[in-house]
Parts: sequence; structure tokens; C-alpha cells
Amino acid sequence: MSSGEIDFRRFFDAEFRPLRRFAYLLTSDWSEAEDLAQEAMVRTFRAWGRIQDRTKPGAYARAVLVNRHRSLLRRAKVEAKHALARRPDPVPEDAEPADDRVLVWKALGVLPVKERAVVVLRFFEDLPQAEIAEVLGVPVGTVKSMTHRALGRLRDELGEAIALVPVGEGG
Amino acid sequence: MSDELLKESLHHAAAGEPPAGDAFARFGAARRRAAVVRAVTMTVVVAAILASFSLVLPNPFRSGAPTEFVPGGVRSPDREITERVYTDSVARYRIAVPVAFEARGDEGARVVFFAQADPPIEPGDPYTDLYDDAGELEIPRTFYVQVTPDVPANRPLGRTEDRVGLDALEDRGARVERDVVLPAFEGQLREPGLAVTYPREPSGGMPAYWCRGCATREFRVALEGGAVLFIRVVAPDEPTMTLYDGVVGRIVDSLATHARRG
Repeated sequence: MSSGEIDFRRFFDAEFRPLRRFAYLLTSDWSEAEDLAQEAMVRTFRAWGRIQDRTKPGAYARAVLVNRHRSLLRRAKVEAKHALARRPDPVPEDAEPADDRVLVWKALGVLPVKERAVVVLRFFEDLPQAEIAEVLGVPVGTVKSMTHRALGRLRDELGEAIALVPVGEGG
Repeated sequence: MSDELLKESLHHAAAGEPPAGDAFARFGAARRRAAVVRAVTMTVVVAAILASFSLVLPNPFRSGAPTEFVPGGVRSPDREITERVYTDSVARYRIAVPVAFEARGDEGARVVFFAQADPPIEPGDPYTDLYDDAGELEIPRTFYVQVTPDVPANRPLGRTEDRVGLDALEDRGARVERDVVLPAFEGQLREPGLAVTYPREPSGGMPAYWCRGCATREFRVALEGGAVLFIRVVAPDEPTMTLYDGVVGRIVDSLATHARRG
């Protein structure tokens, strides 16, 4: 096994599960998340030799994953329907029907892929906006506007069920 | 609250993560599948590119082969039978045909033959077209076609007896070898309603029964009803004979095919 393969194996062991969780939070489907994460890993491995910034291959893998997810949705031409169809997302069994967390999770289903990715990267992965911009391949300003738009949609979707106050732009 | 609620919601949703198992083994399988897909895709793409090139680049066995027969050419004033002259627009091969049954060229142009010409073909009729548009004697690459009615399709065709027209050609200055032993007719294709007997173009190379340098090529295509389409090709002894032979084979193929369709 070459040193590059050893490096990649380390990366895989450390990053596969977080990547799969990230995919799940985008797709709401664990098997789809598994496929996307595997595919992102395959493509990352293929590009391993030319990923210059080895300190951030995770960002590369997430970018691949988001793009692949988007292209799959686009190919099926069901992005809008897909988002709606995803709304009754599976929720943890211990959740109460009126649990705010469940309502927010369901509301995430209305977001377009990139906005959902922004929310997940920001609030789940705790990435600063600069890194989110790197993953999504957009300027930081666009990340800010997407965040703002995504939270606005969530507020609209949740209505009065939850008082979702605007979040700061930190990061 | 909002930040915390969002974070809590996301972590709560992700908490139901199933065990990863041997993810790296699955990764290896996915890698192999991706490699196979890439290899197949590349093969298809390369094959498509090569196929495109082969359609565009010159092919020695297709070079100059007529793809369409366009009515035109010159009608000699001394011609005694009805005749149409067709010129291949690409290679400038010319085919002189006694008016007969009709057949379509590849591009939809019609080639006409008749088992019963009007007036009937008589032995000795100079149904040739030896002059080009400028009035110059033009021997090479001219096809002389005769329709011989009422000849049984299964008649032995090992040797050509009919040399009608050669005298007239020679009188006009054509270089005609009188002692040419014509090649044996090899290869037979029998189809319902049409038995074709003529040398067929081989899959590659020069067929044994073509004689390089021979002045004539002759074919008989037995048609439905017992008629025989008799095609005589007079060509000069030139280095391009091999290609020329291939072209002739294609013409005969094409005519026979279209005759059957017509």
C-alpha cells in the first residue's frame, strides 16, 4: 500500500461516518446517504493525488457529495417534488409528535439542497462561513444570503409553531 | 434558542445512525464498480470516435464507390437504342444503360433497365457512350450494360461469349484486348425471385478472379423471369485497377440490389 493510500485510509476511517451523517441530513435517507458518502469517497480517492490542500480533503468530499446529490435530483427533475416528498422524514422513535426538534427537522425538507447544506454545515458541522463557502464553491456573501434565506423559509414553514428567532451571522 | 434548536434538531435526527459496519470494504467494492463503469464508458467513447473517423476518412475499399447515380451525360446521336447515361457524381464513373426496368440509387436517383428495350436491343448495337462533355473520346471508367432477355438464369456463365459492342468500341479508337480470357464467375447469391451470379467483392484484397490489367470486366446478373443483366466494364490498364475493381463490385451489388427492389 502506498503512502497515499495509507493517508487516504486514515482519512476514510476518520471521515466516513461524519460524511454519511452529513449526507443523511441532506437526504433524510440512510441508504441514500450511504451511497452518496461512498461515491464521494470514491471520487475523493480518485482525486487524492491532485488535492493540493491535504488538510481539507473533508471539504472536498463534502463538495463532491453536495454536487452529486444535486445532480441526482436534477437528473430526476423532481427536486421540487422530492423536497415535498421528503417532508414526512423519519424521525427518531423516542421523539414526541409535538417535539420542536421533530418539527424543525420536518421543516428542513422544504429547503433546496444548497440551502439545506448551508444549514447543516453551519449548525451541525459548526463550520465557519468561509469553509462553508469553500465546500459549496460560492462566495462568503452568498453563504450569508443563503443562510438568511434558508432560515426565512424555515420560519415560514414553522409559522407560529415555533418562534424561530433570527440567528446571528457569526462564524 | 434558534441556534440551539436547529443544532439540537440536526443532532437528534442524526442520532439514529445505523452502524457503519465494514465501510471500507464497501468502499473497495464501490471503487471497483466505478472503475468498471469508467472502463466501459471509455471503451464506448473510443469506439464511437473511431467509428466516426471511419465514416469520414477515406477508405480504400470505398474510395470512389458510387453512392448515387445521377441522370445526365451525353446521348450519342448515332445511338440506335434508347439509352440513359448516369454519372456517379463523386467518382465520375459513368454507366450507360439501355432503358429497362427502374432501380433506385442509394440517394434515390433512379437507374433504368428493361428486359425488353424499345426498340429491342440488337446484336451489334453500339450502346456505348464514348465521348465526354467536351467531345473527347473517353474510354476509361465507362460501363456498358446490356440486357439479354430470355436467357435461363441457371445458364453456365463461366465464360463470356457475348462481345457485342467491342468491335464498335475498337472502331472508335478504344483499346480492346481481343484475347482476354475473362475471369471465371465465382460466387453465387441466390435469393427468392433473383439469382445473382457474378464475382463478388471479397472482404479484402484483390480477388483471384480479377485479372489485373485485363481490359474488360464482365458480369451477368440473372434477373427474375429469366432475363440476364449483362454488364461489361471496359477499363484501362492502370495502377488503380485494384480500387477500380472494388468499385465495380459495389456497382454491380448496388444494381442487383436495386433491381430486385425495383
